[in-house]
Amino acid sequence: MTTHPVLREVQISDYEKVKSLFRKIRMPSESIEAWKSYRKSPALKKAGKDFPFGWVLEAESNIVGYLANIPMIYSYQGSEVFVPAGRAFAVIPKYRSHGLKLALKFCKQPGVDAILNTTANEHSAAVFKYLKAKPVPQAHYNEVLFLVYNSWQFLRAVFIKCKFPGSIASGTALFLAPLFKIITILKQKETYPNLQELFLKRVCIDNLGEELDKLWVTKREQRVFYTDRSVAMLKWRINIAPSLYHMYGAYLKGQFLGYILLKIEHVEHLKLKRCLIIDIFGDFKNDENLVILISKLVGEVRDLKVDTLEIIGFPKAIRKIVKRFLPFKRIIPNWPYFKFMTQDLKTVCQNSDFWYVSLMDGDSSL
Amino acid sequence: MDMDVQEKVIQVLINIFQVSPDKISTETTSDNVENWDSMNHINMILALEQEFGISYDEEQAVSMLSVGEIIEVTKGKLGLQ
Repeated sequence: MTTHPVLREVQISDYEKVKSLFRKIRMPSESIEAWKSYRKSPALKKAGKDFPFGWVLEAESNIVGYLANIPMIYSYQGSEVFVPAGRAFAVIPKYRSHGLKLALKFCKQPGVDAILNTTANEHSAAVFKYLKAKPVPQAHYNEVLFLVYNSWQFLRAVFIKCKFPGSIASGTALFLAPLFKIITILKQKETYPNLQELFLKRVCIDNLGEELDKLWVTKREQRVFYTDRSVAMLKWRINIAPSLYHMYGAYLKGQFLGYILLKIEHVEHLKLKRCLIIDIFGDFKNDENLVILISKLVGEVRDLKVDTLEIIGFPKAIRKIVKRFLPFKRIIPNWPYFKFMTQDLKTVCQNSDFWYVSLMDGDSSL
Repeated sequence: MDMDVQEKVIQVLINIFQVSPDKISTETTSDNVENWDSMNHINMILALEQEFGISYDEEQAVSMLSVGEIIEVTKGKLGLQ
């Protein structure tokens, strides 16, 4: 006879038991540093001191289920919107029927304007849909656009994913890599204008302070639902794993226009080094400028010695430009789910222009 | 009518969890049905709502983790208690 698990708020002292839960279900667990960082988020100014950082299901002195609750702030027309994001939703198989309790606790938490869940696989999507959360109406979120720098590494990762034995995956990839390289070159045969006075410069978030805050003050007034990009929030996010982030400032005649934020991800089991475009944010004046900036970015990223450059999300206009440089695509099962509590936002969120969702949103790039 | 509810509930569970009829009784709980995970739990709730033409509260849906509990809650919703 199995004991029904007890639902309670997670404590930092639960870390080792939660880690053990993730080991049991063979999923990567979060670091203790990440747990500590969540508790220092600038978004906590809206949350109050009793904000729960997640919940656990406990049975027989073990943690058998977990859902993290990360405080986030959004802005819409200058108003701050408090939106906790769900993260690391996991329940061991024996107790999976109790998973809904965690999701309900997350969706029904008091004092929030909305909730967001970005790590929706098939199971969690079903759960959040049942709890009346809605998928973000931003087209093609599940379509990853990418460019391959290292054909051999990329093809080997594809074959490893297709369960080819290691040596066969490497050999087949080596054989096909030249052909794939030719296909990549053919797909990029377009040439783009260059503008000497428009350039990208590797920057550190600490050096951007005033320029960035000025940009954010302007952008947060728009009728777009932006996740908080204040210097404080960006610093908090980047400092969770600073060595993995690369930030580029975009300048026109020396004037700061915006930034592009990248994150490097090592996919150990596929032996692949991916570079993800986490954010493209600014006032780039016109589409042609963005075309030039992305073209320069593709060159900058080549120097980072990564295998691929990838982008997930962003509105149609940005994707259309990026697609010219990142010509391949693949489909992922993820789709972000939101649920608004405030009536005015419930209405406007139906409009796709309301959204600017990328890996910056929720926990996707934490 | 009470018997009807019990039989219908058990039939829904047999269909959703793909188990043989002898594996489901009024004593059965979610812990002794292999396929009773969160997704099938939701499928079960939706199937029961359709079968009986009712709608469970989210809190009720979460607590319906045994056949006995499901029957009790469903009877309550149908005004049979």
